[in-house]
Amino acid sequence: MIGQAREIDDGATLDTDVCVIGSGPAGLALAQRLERQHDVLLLESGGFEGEEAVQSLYRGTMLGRPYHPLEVCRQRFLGGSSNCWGGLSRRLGAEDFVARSWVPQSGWPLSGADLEPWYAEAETFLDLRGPGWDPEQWSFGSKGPWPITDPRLRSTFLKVNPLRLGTTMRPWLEQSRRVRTVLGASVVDIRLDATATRVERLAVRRSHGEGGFAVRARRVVLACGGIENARLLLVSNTVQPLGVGNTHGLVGRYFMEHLNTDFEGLLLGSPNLPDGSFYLRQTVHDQQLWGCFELAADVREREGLLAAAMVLLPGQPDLLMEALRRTIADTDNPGAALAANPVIVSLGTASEQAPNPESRVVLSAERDRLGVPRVALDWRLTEQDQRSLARTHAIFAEAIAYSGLGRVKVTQLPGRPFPEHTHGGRHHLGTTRMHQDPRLGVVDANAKVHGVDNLFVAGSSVFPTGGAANPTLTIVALARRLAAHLAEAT
Amino acid sequence: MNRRELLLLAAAFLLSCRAQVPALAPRQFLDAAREIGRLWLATSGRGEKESTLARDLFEGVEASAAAEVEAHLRQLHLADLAASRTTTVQGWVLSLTEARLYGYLASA
Repeated sequence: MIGQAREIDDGATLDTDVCVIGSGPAGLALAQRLERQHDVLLLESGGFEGEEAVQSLYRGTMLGRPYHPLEVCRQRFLGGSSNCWGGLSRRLGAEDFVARSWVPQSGWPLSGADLEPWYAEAETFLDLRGPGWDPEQWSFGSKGPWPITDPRLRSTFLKVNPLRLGTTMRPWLEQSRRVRTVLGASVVDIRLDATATRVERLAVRRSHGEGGFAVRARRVVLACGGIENARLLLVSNTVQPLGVGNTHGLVGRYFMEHLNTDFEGLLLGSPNLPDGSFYLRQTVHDQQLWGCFELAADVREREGLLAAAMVLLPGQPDLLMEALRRTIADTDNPGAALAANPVIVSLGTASEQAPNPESRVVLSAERDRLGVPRVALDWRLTEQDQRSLARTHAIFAEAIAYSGLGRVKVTQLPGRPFPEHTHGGRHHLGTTRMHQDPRLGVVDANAKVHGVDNLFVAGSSVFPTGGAANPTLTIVALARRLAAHLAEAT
Repeated sequence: MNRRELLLLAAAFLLSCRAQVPALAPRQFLDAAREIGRLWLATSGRGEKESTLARDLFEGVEASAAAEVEAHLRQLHLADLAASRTTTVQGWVLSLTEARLYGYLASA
Protein backbone atom coordinates (compact mmCIF):
# COMPACT_ATOMS: atom_id res chain seq x y z
CA MET A 1 0.00 0.00 0.00
CA ILE A 2 1.04 3.58 -0.56
CA GLY A 3 0.10 6.30 1.89
CA GLN A 4 1.01 9.86 2.72
CA ALA A 5 2.86 11.28 5.72
CA ARG A 6 0.02 13.74 6.28
CA GLU A 7 -2.30 10.78 6.98
CA ILE A 8 -0.20 9.71 9.95
CA ASP A 9 -1.04 11.32 13.30
CA ASP A 10 1.38 13.94 14.46
CA GLY A 11 3.65 12.46 17.12
CA ALA A 12 2.65 8.88 16.33
CA THR A 13 5.17 6.05 16.38
CA LEU A 14 5.14 3.45 13.63
CA ASP A 15 6.58 0.05 14.43
CA THR A 16 7.99 -2.13 11.70
CA ASP A 17 10.36 -4.95 11.03
CA VAL A 18 12.55 -3.22 8.45
CA CYS A 19 12.47 0.46 7.62
CA VAL A 20 13.98 1.43 4.27
CA ILE A 21 14.71 5.12 3.83
CA GLY A 22 14.54 6.09 0.17
CA SER A 23 12.66 4.64 -2.80
CA GLY A 24 15.33 4.81 -5.50
CA PRO A 25 16.79 1.76 -7.23
CA ALA A 26 18.44 0.53 -4.01
CA GLY A 27 15.41 1.03 -1.78
CA LEU A 28 12.95 -0.52 -4.21
CA ALA A 29 15.17 -3.50 -5.05
CA LEU A 30 15.62 -4.10 -1.36
CA ALA A 31 11.96 -3.72 -0.42
CA GLN A 32 10.81 -6.00 -3.20
CA ARG A 33 13.04 -8.83 -2.04
CA LEU A 34 12.47 -8.22 1.68
CA GLU A 35 8.73 -8.53 1.11
CA ARG A 36 9.14 -12.33 0.97
CA GLN A 37 9.96 -12.50 4.67
CA HIS A 38 9.42 -9.11 6.27
CA ASP A 39 7.06 -6.27 6.88
CA VAL A 40 8.72 -3.25 5.37
CA LEU A 41 8.13 0.45 5.88
CA LEU A 42 9.42 2.34 2.86
CA LEU A 43 9.84 6.06 3.50
CA GLU A 44 10.07 8.46 0.58
CA SER A 45 10.57 12.18 1.05
CA GLY A 46 8.84 13.12 -2.19
CA GLY A 47 5.59 12.18 -3.82
CA PHE A 48 4.65 10.58 -7.10
CA GLU A 49 6.13 13.45 -9.09
CA GLY A 50 9.00 15.86 -8.61
CA GLU A 51 8.20 19.04 -6.72
CA GLU A 52 10.36 22.10 -6.27
CA ALA A 53 9.55 22.34 -2.56
CA VAL A 54 10.87 18.86 -1.89
CA GLN A 55 13.65 18.92 -4.45
CA SER A 56 15.04 22.06 -2.82
CA LEU A 57 15.85 20.01 0.28
CA TYR A 58 18.75 18.72 -1.79
CA ARG A 59 20.35 22.10 -2.34
CA GLY A 60 23.94 22.43 -1.24
CA THR A 61 27.10 24.37 -1.82
CA MET A 62 30.41 23.62 -3.51
CA LEU A 63 33.78 23.84 -1.80
CA GLY A 64 35.95 22.08 -4.36
CA ARG A 65 35.72 21.59 -8.12
CA PRO A 66 32.61 22.88 -9.83
CA TYR A 67 29.86 20.28 -9.81
CA HIS A 68 26.28 19.84 -10.90
CA PRO A 69 23.81 21.67 -8.67
CA LEU A 70 22.96 19.12 -6.00
CA GLU A 71 19.21 19.63 -6.41
CA VAL A 72 19.52 18.83 -10.12
CA CYS A 73 21.77 15.78 -10.24
CA ARG A 74 19.44 13.53 -8.22
CA GLN A 75 15.69 13.20 -7.79
CA ARG A 76 13.68 13.17 -4.58
CA PHE A 77 10.41 11.42 -5.35
CA LEU A 78 9.12 7.89 -5.83
CA GLY A 79 11.72 6.03 -7.87
CA GLY A 80 14.49 8.32 -6.66
CA SER A 81 17.24 9.00 -9.14
CA SER A 82 15.92 6.38 -11.54
CA ASN A 83 13.78 9.36 -12.55
CA CYS A 84 16.83 10.95 -14.18
CA TRP A 85 18.70 7.76 -15.02
CA GLY A 86 20.15 7.19 -18.47
CA GLY A 87 19.57 3.46 -18.09
CA LEU A 88 23.20 2.53 -18.76
CA SER A 89 24.09 -0.77 -17.14
CA ARG A 90 27.27 -2.72 -16.93
CA ARG A 91 28.80 -5.02 -14.35
CA LEU A 92 31.97 -4.16 -12.54
CA GLY A 93 34.78 -6.43 -13.67
CA ALA A 94 36.33 -8.98 -11.35
CA GLU A 95 39.48 -6.82 -11.30
CA ASP A 96 37.49 -3.85 -9.96
CA PHE A 97 36.90 -5.65 -6.66
CA VAL A 98 40.56 -6.41 -6.04
CA ALA A 99 42.93 -4.14 -4.14
CA ARG A 100 45.38 -2.60 -6.60
CA SER A 101 48.83 -1.69 -5.38
CA TRP A 102 48.86 1.44 -7.55
CA VAL A 103 45.50 2.70 -6.26
CA PRO A 104 45.70 3.42 -2.53
CA GLN A 105 42.64 2.38 -0.51
CA SER A 106 41.27 0.37 -3.43
CA GLY A 107 39.46 -2.96 -3.33
CA TRP A 108 36.30 -4.37 -1.89
CA PRO A 109 35.76 -6.85 0.93
CA LEU A 110 33.81 -8.83 -1.69
CA SER A 111 34.86 -10.52 -4.89
CA GLY A 112 33.20 -10.36 -8.25
CA ALA A 113 32.15 -13.99 -7.73
CA ASP A 114 30.43 -13.05 -4.45
CA LEU A 115 28.23 -10.64 -6.35
CA GLU A 116 27.61 -12.86 -9.37
CA PRO A 117 24.22 -14.30 -8.30
CA TRP A 118 23.02 -10.86 -7.22
CA TYR A 119 24.01 -9.35 -10.54
CA ALA A 120 21.78 -11.96 -12.18
CA GLU A 121 18.87 -10.91 -9.94
CA ALA A 122 19.61 -7.26 -10.56
CA GLU A 123 19.51 -7.77 -14.31
CA THR A 124 16.07 -9.30 -14.00
CA PHE A 125 14.96 -6.44 -11.75
CA LEU A 126 16.18 -3.87 -14.27
CA ASP A 127 14.72 -5.84 -17.18
CA LEU A 128 18.05 -6.29 -18.95
CA ARG A 129 17.83 -8.87 -21.66
CA GLY A 130 19.83 -10.99 -24.07
CA PRO A 131 22.83 -13.23 -23.54
CA GLY A 132 25.65 -12.34 -21.17
CA TRP A 133 28.28 -9.65 -21.18
CA ASP A 134 30.76 -11.15 -23.64
CA PRO A 135 30.25 -9.76 -27.16
CA GLU A 136 31.05 -13.25 -28.44
CA GLN A 137 27.75 -14.45 -26.99
CA TRP A 138 25.74 -12.13 -29.21
CA SER A 139 24.79 -12.41 -32.85
CA PHE A 140 25.86 -9.08 -34.23
CA GLY A 141 26.43 -10.12 -37.83
CA SER A 142 28.24 -7.31 -39.61
CA LYS A 143 27.41 -4.88 -36.81
CA GLY A 144 29.77 -6.31 -34.26
CA PRO A 145 32.86 -4.89 -32.57
CA TRP A 146 35.72 -3.65 -34.71
CA PRO A 147 38.59 -6.09 -35.23
CA ILE A 148 41.06 -4.67 -32.74
CA THR A 149 44.43 -6.33 -33.21
CA ASP A 150 46.18 -4.52 -30.38
CA PRO A 151 45.71 -6.67 -27.25
CA ARG A 152 45.78 -3.60 -25.03
CA LEU A 153 42.29 -2.54 -26.09
CA ARG A 154 39.02 -4.44 -26.10
CA SER A 155 35.42 -3.76 -26.96
CA THR A 156 32.60 -4.29 -24.55
CA PHE A 157 29.13 -2.80 -24.19
CA LEU A 158 26.55 -1.29 -21.93
CA LYS A 159 22.96 -2.46 -21.81
CA VAL A 160 20.54 0.43 -21.97
CA ASN A 161 17.10 0.42 -20.37
CA PRO A 162 16.18 3.67 -18.61
CA LEU A 163 13.43 2.38 -16.34
CA ARG A 164 11.52 4.87 -14.26
CA LEU A 165 11.11 2.63 -11.26
CA GLY A 166 8.61 4.86 -9.50
CA THR A 167 6.29 4.33 -12.44
CA THR A 168 7.01 0.70 -13.24
CA MET A 169 6.87 -0.44 -9.62
CA ARG A 170 3.99 1.70 -8.45
CA PRO A 171 1.34 -0.98 -9.16
CA TRP A 172 3.30 -3.48 -7.08
CA LEU A 173 3.76 -0.98 -4.25
CA GLU A 174 0.04 -0.21 -4.27
CA GLN A 175 -0.84 -3.91 -4.11
CA SER A 176 1.81 -5.02 -1.66
CA ARG A 177 0.51 -6.15 1.72
CA ARG A 178 3.89 -6.30 3.38
CA VAL A 179 5.51 -3.16 2.01
CA ARG A 180 3.94 0.01 3.32
CA THR A 181 5.15 3.04 1.40
CA VAL A 182 4.79 6.47 2.96
CA LEU A 183 5.31 9.44 0.69
CA GLY A 184 6.16 12.94 1.86
CA ALA A 185 8.13 11.50 4.79
CA SER A 186 11.58 13.02 5.33
CA VAL A 187 13.81 11.34 7.89
CA VAL A 188 15.68 14.07 9.76
CA ASP A 189 17.39 12.17 12.55
CA ILE A 190 18.62 8.66 13.29
CA ARG A 191 18.45 8.42 17.04
CA LEU A 192 20.71 5.84 18.68
CA ASP A 193 20.10 4.30 22.07
CA ALA A 194 22.24 5.31 25.03
CA THR A 195 24.85 2.67 24.21
CA ALA A 196 25.13 4.03 20.65
CA THR A 197 24.99 0.49 19.32
CA ARG A 198 21.40 0.39 18.06
CA VAL A 199 19.04 2.68 16.25
CA GLU A 200 16.29 3.40 18.72
CA ARG A 201 14.02 5.39 16.45
CA LEU A 202 13.88 7.59 13.43
CA ALA A 203 12.54 11.12 13.53
CA VAL A 204 10.43 11.79 10.45
CA ARG A 205 9.16 15.17 9.32
CA ARG A 206 6.38 15.74 6.85
CA SER A 207 8.01 17.09 3.70
CA HIS A 208 5.05 19.44 3.29
CA GLY A 209 3.72 21.38 6.23
CA GLU A 210 4.45 20.89 9.87
CA GLY A 211 4.82 18.00 12.24
CA GLY A 212 5.90 14.46 11.87
CA PHE A 213 6.13 11.07 13.48
CA ALA A 214 8.62 8.50 14.69
CA VAL A 215 9.56 5.04 13.45
CA ARG A 216 10.78 2.15 15.55
CA ALA A 217 12.27 -0.62 13.44
CA ARG A 218 14.18 -3.79 14.15
CA ARG A 219 16.45 -2.93 11.24
CA VAL A 220 16.95 0.30 9.35
CA VAL A 221 18.41 0.61 5.87
CA LEU A 222 19.61 3.93 4.52
CA ALA A 223 19.00 4.07 0.78
CA CYS A 224 18.91 7.79 0.11
CA GLY A 225 21.73 8.10 -2.40
CA GLY A 226 25.46 8.64 -2.24
CA ILE A 227 25.32 12.14 -0.80
CA GLU A 228 22.20 11.94 1.34
CA ASN A 229 23.24 8.74 3.11
CA ALA A 230 26.30 10.56 4.44
CA ARG A 231 24.30 13.68 5.25
CA LEU A 232 21.79 11.78 7.35
CA LEU A 233 24.52 9.99 9.29
CA LEU A 234 26.37 13.24 9.91
CA VAL A 235 23.33 15.24 11.06
CA SER A 236 22.30 12.49 13.49
CA ASN A 237 24.69 13.64 16.19
CA THR A 238 22.60 13.67 19.33
CA VAL A 239 24.23 10.61 20.88
CA GLN A 240 27.49 10.56 18.96
CA PRO A 241 28.76 14.11 18.39
CA LEU A 242 30.48 13.25 15.11
CA GLY A 243 27.38 11.55 13.77
CA VAL A 244 26.30 7.96 13.44
CA GLY A 245 28.95 5.52 12.26
CA ASN A 246 31.53 8.27 12.20
CA THR A 247 33.81 7.25 15.03
CA HIS A 248 36.78 7.36 12.69
CA GLY A 249 35.72 10.44 10.78
CA LEU A 250 35.11 8.57 7.53
CA VAL A 251 31.47 9.43 6.84
CA GLY A 252 31.34 11.72 3.83
CA ARG A 253 34.95 11.16 2.86
CA TYR A 254 36.12 9.40 -0.30
CA PHE A 255 33.46 11.02 -2.45
CA MET A 256 34.12 9.70 -5.95
CA GLU A 257 32.60 10.24 -9.33
CA HIS A 258 33.01 8.87 -12.80
CA LEU A 259 34.83 11.62 -14.60
CA ASN A 260 33.12 12.49 -17.83
CA THR A 261 35.41 14.12 -20.33
CA ASP A 262 33.32 14.13 -23.47
CA PHE A 263 34.78 15.48 -26.67
CA GLU A 264 38.30 14.96 -25.40
CA GLY A 265 39.35 13.32 -28.60
CA LEU A 266 38.45 12.67 -32.20
CA LEU A 267 38.63 9.45 -34.10
CA LEU A 268 39.20 9.68 -37.81
CA GLY A 269 38.31 6.38 -39.36
CA SER A 270 40.42 4.71 -42.01
CA PRO A 271 38.73 3.79 -45.26
CA ASN A 272 38.70 0.18 -44.15
CA LEU A 273 36.89 0.98 -40.94
CA PRO A 274 34.07 -1.57 -40.54
CA ASP A 275 30.49 -0.73 -39.77
CA GLY A 276 30.37 1.24 -36.52
CA SER A 277 26.86 0.29 -35.42
CA PHE A 278 28.25 -1.58 -32.43
CA TYR A 279 29.52 1.67 -30.96
CA LEU A 280 26.29 3.52 -31.58
CA ARG A 281 23.13 2.42 -29.92
CA GLN A 282 21.58 -0.62 -31.52
CA THR A 283 18.97 -3.13 -30.47
CA VAL A 284 19.93 -6.79 -30.55
CA HIS A 285 18.03 -9.66 -28.92
CA ASP A 286 15.37 -7.14 -27.86
CA GLN A 287 17.95 -5.23 -25.83
CA GLN A 288 19.44 -1.85 -26.62
CA LEU A 289 23.22 -1.91 -26.45
CA TRP A 290 25.92 0.73 -26.59
CA GLY A 291 29.37 -0.52 -27.47
CA CYS A 292 32.38 0.96 -25.75
CA PHE A 293 36.10 0.40 -25.34
CA GLU A 294 38.20 -0.39 -22.32
CA LEU A 295 41.84 -1.19 -21.72
CA ALA A 296 42.71 -4.77 -20.87
CA ALA A 297 43.14 -5.37 -17.13
CA ASP A 298 46.78 -6.44 -17.50
CA VAL A 299 47.60 -3.18 -19.28
CA ARG A 300 46.02 -1.16 -16.50
CA GLU A 301 48.07 -3.11 -13.99
CA ARG A 302 51.30 -2.74 -15.95
CA GLU A 303 50.78 0.96 -16.56
CA GLY A 304 49.26 1.73 -13.15
CA LEU A 305 46.01 3.05 -14.57
CA LEU A 306 42.51 3.51 -13.25
CA ALA A 307 39.53 2.01 -15.07
CA ALA A 308 37.90 3.87 -17.94
CA ALA A 309 35.25 3.25 -20.55
CA MET A 310 35.36 5.11 -23.83
CA VAL A 311 32.40 5.69 -26.09
CA LEU A 312 32.05 7.31 -29.48
CA LEU A 313 29.97 10.43 -29.90
CA PRO A 314 29.18 12.68 -32.87
CA GLY A 315 32.28 14.64 -33.83
CA GLN A 316 33.32 17.70 -35.75
CA PRO A 317 36.34 17.75 -38.05
CA ASP A 318 39.33 19.85 -37.18
CA LEU A 319 41.90 21.65 -39.29
CA LEU A 320 44.45 18.89 -39.66
CA MET A 321 41.89 16.21 -40.28
CA GLU A 322 41.72 16.68 -44.03
CA ALA A 323 45.44 16.18 -44.39
CA LEU A 324 45.35 13.11 -42.20
CA ARG A 325 42.40 11.70 -44.07
CA ARG A 326 44.45 11.70 -47.22
CA THR A 327 47.52 10.09 -45.72
CA ILE A 328 46.06 7.41 -43.49
CA ALA A 329 43.86 6.23 -46.29
CA ASP A 330 46.92 4.50 -47.54
CA THR A 331 49.00 3.90 -44.46
CA ASP A 332 46.30 1.81 -42.90
CA ASN A 333 45.02 0.10 -45.98
CA PRO A 334 47.38 0.00 -48.93
CA GLY A 335 45.54 0.15 -52.17
CA ALA A 336 42.28 1.35 -50.71
CA ALA A 337 40.52 4.24 -52.26
CA LEU A 338 40.58 7.46 -50.37
CA ALA A 339 37.74 7.52 -47.91
CA ALA A 340 35.03 9.61 -49.42
CA ASN A 341 33.15 9.92 -46.18
CA PRO A 342 35.56 9.33 -43.36
CA VAL A 343 34.17 8.47 -39.99
CA ILE A 344 34.67 11.36 -37.62
CA VAL A 345 33.60 10.78 -34.09
CA SER A 346 34.39 12.30 -30.75
CA LEU A 347 35.69 10.34 -27.85
CA GLY A 348 33.73 10.38 -24.61
CA THR A 349 35.25 8.83 -21.52
CA ALA A 350 33.88 7.81 -18.16
CA SER A 351 36.86 7.19 -15.96
CA GLU A 352 37.34 5.99 -12.45
CA GLN A 353 38.36 8.41 -9.74
CA ALA A 354 40.89 7.11 -7.24
CA PRO A 355 39.67 6.95 -3.62
CA ASN A 356 40.65 10.21 -1.98
CA PRO A 357 39.78 11.03 1.64
CA GLU A 358 40.02 14.77 0.93
CA SER A 359 37.21 14.56 -1.60
CA ARG A 360 34.21 14.70 0.65
CA VAL A 361 30.72 15.68 1.68
CA VAL A 362 30.49 17.83 4.80
CA LEU A 363 27.69 19.67 6.53
CA SER A 364 27.26 23.37 5.88
CA ALA A 365 26.07 25.97 8.35
CA GLU A 366 22.91 26.50 6.34
CA ARG A 367 19.80 24.49 7.14
CA ASP A 368 16.96 23.39 4.91
CA ARG A 369 13.28 24.10 5.45
CA LEU A 370 13.03 21.10 7.79
CA GLY A 371 15.90 22.34 9.92
CA VAL A 372 18.42 19.81 8.63
CA PRO A 373 21.94 21.08 7.87
CA ARG A 374 22.58 21.21 4.15
CA VAL A 375 25.60 19.60 2.57
CA ALA A 376 28.69 21.16 1.08
CA LEU A 377 30.51 19.13 -1.52
CA ASP A 378 34.29 19.33 -1.68
CA TRP A 379 34.95 17.35 -4.84
CA ARG A 380 38.65 16.94 -5.49
CA LEU A 381 40.63 15.19 -8.16
CA THR A 382 44.23 14.15 -8.01
CA GLU A 383 47.25 14.07 -10.28
CA GLN A 384 46.74 10.31 -10.51
CA ASP A 385 43.25 10.80 -11.93
CA GLN A 386 44.59 13.15 -14.60
CA ARG A 387 47.65 11.11 -15.49
CA SER A 388 45.61 7.94 -15.79
CA LEU A 389 43.08 9.53 -18.11
CA ALA A 390 45.76 11.02 -20.35
CA ARG A 391 47.64 7.74 -20.61
CA THR A 392 44.43 5.81 -21.25
CA HIS A 393 43.61 8.09 -24.16
CA ALA A 394 47.12 7.71 -25.53
CA ILE A 395 46.93 3.91 -25.44
CA PHE A 396 43.51 4.03 -27.06
CA ALA A 397 44.97 6.15 -29.85
CA GLU A 398 47.90 3.79 -30.31
CA ALA A 399 45.67 0.72 -30.39
CA ILE A 400 43.29 2.23 -32.93
CA ALA A 401 46.20 3.12 -35.21
CA TYR A 402 47.87 -0.25 -34.66
CA SER A 403 44.64 -1.98 -35.68
CA GLY A 404 44.49 0.06 -38.87
CA LEU A 405 41.20 1.63 -37.87
CA GLY A 406 42.17 5.28 -38.00
CA ARG A 407 43.90 7.97 -36.01
CA VAL A 408 42.88 9.61 -32.77
CA LYS A 409 43.29 13.16 -31.63
CA VAL A 410 43.69 13.56 -27.89
CA THR A 411 43.50 16.76 -25.95
CA GLN A 412 44.07 15.31 -22.50
CA LEU A 413 47.83 15.19 -22.23
CA PRO A 414 49.98 14.28 -19.23
CA GLY A 415 50.65 17.16 -16.91
CA ARG A 416 47.81 19.31 -18.12
CA PRO A 417 45.00 20.21 -15.75
CA PHE A 418 41.62 18.69 -16.35
CA PRO A 419 39.68 20.70 -18.90
CA GLU A 420 37.04 23.01 -17.49
CA HIS A 421 34.24 20.92 -18.90
CA THR A 422 35.31 17.84 -16.93
CA HIS A 423 32.28 16.88 -14.94
CA GLY A 424 30.88 13.93 -13.09
CA GLY A 425 28.41 11.39 -14.38
CA ARG A 426 26.07 12.15 -11.46
CA HIS A 427 27.36 9.03 -9.78
CA HIS A 428 27.93 9.67 -6.10
CA LEU A 429 30.21 7.02 -4.73
CA GLY A 430 32.18 6.17 -1.64
CA THR A 431 30.89 8.38 1.19
CA THR A 432 30.04 5.41 3.45
CA ARG A 433 32.66 3.09 2.05
CA MET A 434 32.66 -0.64 2.67
CA HIS A 435 35.60 -2.12 4.54
CA GLN A 436 35.92 -4.85 7.13
CA ASP A 437 38.14 -2.65 9.28
CA PRO A 438 36.10 0.07 11.05
CA ARG A 439 39.11 2.35 10.86
CA LEU A 440 38.98 2.16 7.07
CA GLY A 441 35.31 1.89 6.30
CA VAL A 442 31.88 2.99 7.49
CA VAL A 443 30.08 -0.28 6.71
CA ASP A 444 31.23 -3.88 6.78
CA ALA A 445 30.98 -6.43 3.98
CA ASN A 446 27.30 -6.93 4.81
CA ALA A 447 26.70 -3.20 4.51
CA LYS A 448 26.08 -2.90 8.26
CA VAL A 449 27.32 0.30 9.83
CA HIS A 450 30.29 -0.54 12.02
CA GLY A 451 29.34 -0.39 15.67
CA VAL A 452 25.59 -0.10 15.12
CA ASP A 453 23.86 -3.47 15.17
CA ASN A 454 20.69 -2.67 13.27
CA LEU A 455 21.70 0.00 10.76
CA PHE A 456 22.59 -0.81 7.15
CA VAL A 457 23.42 1.21 4.06
CA ALA A 458 22.38 0.51 0.48
CA GLY A 459 23.50 2.37 -2.59
CA SER A 460 26.65 3.62 -4.23
CA SER A 461 27.87 5.31 -1.06
CA VAL A 462 29.20 1.92 0.02
CA PHE A 463 31.45 1.55 -3.05
CA PRO A 464 35.04 1.61 -1.74
CA THR A 465 36.30 1.70 -5.32
CA GLY A 466 34.41 2.98 -8.30
CA GLY A 467 35.56 1.07 -11.37
CA ALA A 468 34.30 2.56 -14.61
CA ALA A 469 30.96 0.80 -14.92
CA ASN A 470 27.81 2.84 -14.44
CA PRO A 471 26.79 2.03 -10.88
CA THR A 472 23.05 1.35 -10.90
CA LEU A 473 23.32 -2.36 -11.76
CA THR A 474 25.82 -2.86 -8.94
CA ILE A 475 23.67 -0.79 -6.57
CA VAL A 476 20.72 -3.09 -7.25
CA ALA A 477 22.87 -6.23 -6.97
CA LEU A 478 24.19 -5.07 -3.59
CA ALA A 479 20.67 -4.23 -2.45
CA ARG A 480 19.44 -7.72 -3.34
CA ARG A 481 22.42 -9.21 -1.52
CA LEU A 482 21.67 -7.08 1.54
CA ALA A 483 18.02 -8.14 1.47
CA ALA A 484 19.06 -11.79 1.48
CA HIS A 485 21.43 -11.12 4.35
CA LEU A 486 18.69 -9.44 6.38
CA ALA A 487 16.41 -12.40 5.71
CA GLU A 488 19.07 -14.84 6.87
CA ALA A 489 19.74 -12.79 9.97
CA THR A 490 16.12 -12.99 11.12
CA MET B 1 69.38 4.23 -53.16
CA ASN B 2 69.48 7.88 -54.00
CA ARG B 3 67.48 10.70 -52.51
CA ARG B 4 64.86 10.67 -55.22
CA GLU B 5 64.35 6.91 -54.91
CA LEU B 6 63.93 7.20 -51.16
CA LEU B 7 61.37 9.90 -51.60
CA LEU B 8 59.41 7.84 -54.07
CA LEU B 9 59.57 4.77 -51.85
CA ALA B 10 58.39 6.77 -48.90
CA ALA B 11 55.54 8.07 -50.96
CA ALA B 12 54.79 4.52 -51.99
CA PHE B 13 54.30 3.61 -48.36
CA LEU B 14 51.87 6.43 -48.02
CA LEU B 15 50.12 5.94 -51.24
CA SER B 16 50.64 2.30 -52.09
CA CYS B 17 51.04 3.30 -55.64
CA ARG B 18 54.20 1.30 -55.66
CA ALA B 19 56.01 1.22 -58.96
CA GLN B 20 54.00 3.95 -60.52
CA VAL B 21 54.35 6.58 -57.87
CA PRO B 22 55.05 9.55 -60.12
CA ALA B 23 52.13 8.74 -62.35
CA LEU B 24 49.60 7.75 -59.74
CA ALA B 25 50.49 9.83 -56.77
CA PRO B 26 47.99 12.61 -56.68
CA ARG B 27 49.65 15.78 -55.68
CA GLN B 28 47.18 16.25 -52.88
CA PHE B 29 48.49 13.16 -51.10
CA LEU B 30 52.01 14.44 -50.99
CA ASP B 31 50.85 17.91 -50.10
CA ALA B 32 48.90 16.52 -47.20
CA ALA B 33 51.82 14.48 -45.93
CA ARG B 34 54.13 17.47 -46.24
CA GLU B 35 51.67 19.67 -44.38
CA ILE B 36 51.67 17.28 -41.46
CA GLY B 37 55.42 16.90 -41.71
CA ARG B 38 56.04 20.63 -41.61
CA LEU B 39 53.87 20.98 -38.55
CA TRP B 40 55.64 18.13 -36.85
CA LEU B 41 59.09 19.46 -37.62
CA ALA B 42 58.07 22.90 -36.43
CA THR B 43 56.59 21.73 -33.15
CA SER B 44 58.40 18.56 -32.17
CA GLY B 45 61.49 20.44 -31.05
CA ARG B 46 63.66 17.68 -32.39
CA GLY B 47 65.32 19.78 -35.07
CA GLU B 48 65.73 16.71 -37.20
CA LYS B 49 67.32 17.02 -40.57
CA GLU B 50 66.40 15.23 -43.72
CA SER B 51 69.45 12.99 -43.51
CA THR B 52 68.65 11.98 -39.97
CA LEU B 53 65.07 11.23 -40.89
CA ALA B 54 66.15 9.15 -43.85
CA ARG B 55 68.57 7.21 -41.68
CA ASP B 56 65.90 6.51 -39.06
CA LEU B 57 63.44 5.45 -41.70
CA PHE B 58 65.53 3.44 -44.09
CA GLU B 59 68.60 2.27 -42.21
CA GLY B 60 69.24 -1.40 -42.84
CA VAL B 61 66.92 -1.62 -45.77
CA GLU B 62 68.85 -3.02 -48.65
CA ALA B 63 66.11 -3.81 -51.00
CA SER B 64 65.21 -1.22 -53.51
CA ALA B 65 61.79 -2.68 -54.17
CA ALA B 66 59.07 -0.38 -52.97
CA ALA B 67 57.07 -3.24 -51.53
CA GLU B 68 59.91 -4.24 -49.28
CA VAL B 69 60.51 -0.71 -48.12
CA GLU B 70 56.84 -0.39 -47.48
CA ALA B 71 56.85 -3.57 -45.41
CA HIS B 72 59.84 -2.26 -43.50
CA LEU B 73 58.13 1.02 -42.73
CA ARG B 74 54.94 -0.71 -41.75
CA GLN B 75 56.86 -2.90 -39.33
CA LEU B 76 58.49 0.17 -37.78
CA HIS B 77 55.10 1.90 -37.62
CA LEU B 78 53.44 -1.00 -35.77
CA ALA B 79 56.40 -1.51 -33.47
CA ASP B 80 56.28 2.18 -32.57
CA LEU B 81 52.61 2.00 -31.68
CA ALA B 82 52.99 -1.17 -29.63
CA ALA B 83 55.85 0.41 -27.69
CA SER B 84 54.17 3.82 -27.33
CA ARG B 85 56.85 5.49 -29.44
CA THR B 86 54.43 8.12 -30.56
CA THR B 87 54.26 11.82 -31.09
CA THR B 88 51.42 14.26 -31.47
CA VAL B 89 50.74 16.81 -34.17
CA GLN B 90 48.04 19.21 -33.06
CA GLY B 91 46.87 16.48 -30.73
CA TRP B 92 46.75 13.71 -33.34
CA VAL B 93 48.66 10.69 -32.14
CA LEU B 94 51.05 9.36 -34.79
CA SER B 95 53.72 6.73 -34.65
CA LEU B 96 57.21 8.18 -34.68
CA THR B 97 57.80 6.46 -38.01
CA GLU B 98 54.75 8.12 -39.52
CA ALA B 99 55.81 11.49 -38.26
CA ARG B 100 59.35 11.01 -39.51
CA LEU B 101 58.07 10.00 -42.89
CA TYR B 102 55.90 13.09 -43.13
CA GLY B 103 58.82 15.17 -41.90
CA TYR B 104 61.10 13.60 -44.45
CA LEU B 105 58.67 14.33 -47.25
CA ALA B 106 58.31 17.89 -46.04
CA SER B 107 62.03 18.49 -46.00
CA ALA B 108 63.01 16.51 -49.07
